[in-house]
Amino acid sequence: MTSTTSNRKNKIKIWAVAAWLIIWQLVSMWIGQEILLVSPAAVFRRLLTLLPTGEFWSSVLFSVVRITGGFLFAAAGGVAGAGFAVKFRRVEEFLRPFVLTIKAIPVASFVILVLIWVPSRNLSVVISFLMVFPIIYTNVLDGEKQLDRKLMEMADVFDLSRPVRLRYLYLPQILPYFRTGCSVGLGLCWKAGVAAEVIGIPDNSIGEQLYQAKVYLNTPDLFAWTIVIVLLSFAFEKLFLYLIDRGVSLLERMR
Amino acid sequence: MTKQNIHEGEKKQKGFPAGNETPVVIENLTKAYGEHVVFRDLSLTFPAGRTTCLMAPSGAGKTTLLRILMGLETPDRGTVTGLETKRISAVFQEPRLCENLSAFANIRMVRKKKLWEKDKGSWEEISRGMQELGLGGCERQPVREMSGGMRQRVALLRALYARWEVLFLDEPFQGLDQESRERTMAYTRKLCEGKTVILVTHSMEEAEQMGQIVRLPL
Repeated sequence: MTSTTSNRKNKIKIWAVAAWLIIWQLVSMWIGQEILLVSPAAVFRRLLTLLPTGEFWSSVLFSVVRITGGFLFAAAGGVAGAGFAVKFRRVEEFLRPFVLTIKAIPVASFVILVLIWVPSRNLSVVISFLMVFPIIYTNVLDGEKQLDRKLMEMADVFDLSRPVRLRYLYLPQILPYFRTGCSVGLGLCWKAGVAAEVIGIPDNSIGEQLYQAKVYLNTPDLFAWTIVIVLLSFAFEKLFLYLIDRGVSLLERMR
Repeated sequence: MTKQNIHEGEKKQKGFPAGNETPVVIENLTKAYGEHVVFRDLSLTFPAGRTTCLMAPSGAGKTTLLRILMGLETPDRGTVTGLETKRISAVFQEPRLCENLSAFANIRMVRKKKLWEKDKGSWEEISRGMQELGLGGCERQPVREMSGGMRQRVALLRALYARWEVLFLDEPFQGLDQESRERTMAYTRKLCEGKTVILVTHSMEEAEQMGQIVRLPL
């Protein structure tokens, strides 16, 4: 009940978005130079011209596949890593410096380093992975460490089988941590993934389109592509969280 | 150390599995937490097929003794025999239920081996038990929405529904009103008849109704 209420409170209101669009339009009209601040109307017109083109969709597809691919690898790796880390202390000790280092290194340094080893077309996969892995790993590991010891004792006494423990005890307690990790990771992987593409400039990617917009000072394109990235990031976050929530409710309804 | 590990030594010594008629025997059991000695050289026999009610003042180590018998704690010294191959079940001091699951799912899980196995009459069996304990119609209710007394009865039903040969009950009727307590005690007595049960209680009335009283020399 509390979470529903807070969700309702946290929802973005249409009037607020409209107010910001009006402010943007007014400031743009006041500056009077599209190259400095393009108007929302011009961005919308540019988006409408981009949408029907094949180049737009192939760029979107290129980046979506790689960035979400990197995210999925990181999610799988983070969960597996946390699983081993909680079981074997040495694995946790081994991974700790790796995770702390990744967290501390700036994305730009990583991009330049990874460019030396990996072709630029796969750069965003590696960067997304590196940005998301520590988040998922740390969150799931925290969840595992917070498992209710009393329930674990109950499971030992009743000699519950592994699948039953997993379904009834582990998953319900760990999934909220995993969900939070995904929510943070999804936003971050899009930011870092596109930044990597802008530096690596792989052909036919969203990053390349942003780079071209920068080179030719094409502000409407820059804003239009930025809006596309925000919408993609938002849509993927909603989709993944919906799938996780659906999984949780299915689990709860299972007898 | 796990339950199996604790009793492993004795299993090897005896060389045969304990049958249902084997009593649970503890010999020279000692347990201390740092300087605080909970019990020293405690020896007791819990006869098979009977309910033994352990009574002692609060903090005397009854729960610690149950935890050792259940394999959740390791004694500093001494042995436990008669539990090696037996399936155990328990009601803990707290209900220890999965809050988001229904009462039915909480009870059902203790007999499940695979996730997708068919229920084969478990709904009817559990519903009947819940009916008898005054929880009829609450099968699908999430445990988090239940009162303390209702949770306690769900925990007791779970323990009774599990497949067990020795049952440990740690103050299983606490938090129940007089009527629920009598109904629950009668139901428990019926299902525990002829089986090995070790019950910890503070209530003389409960102990007298449930079985043979043993005052712990703790």
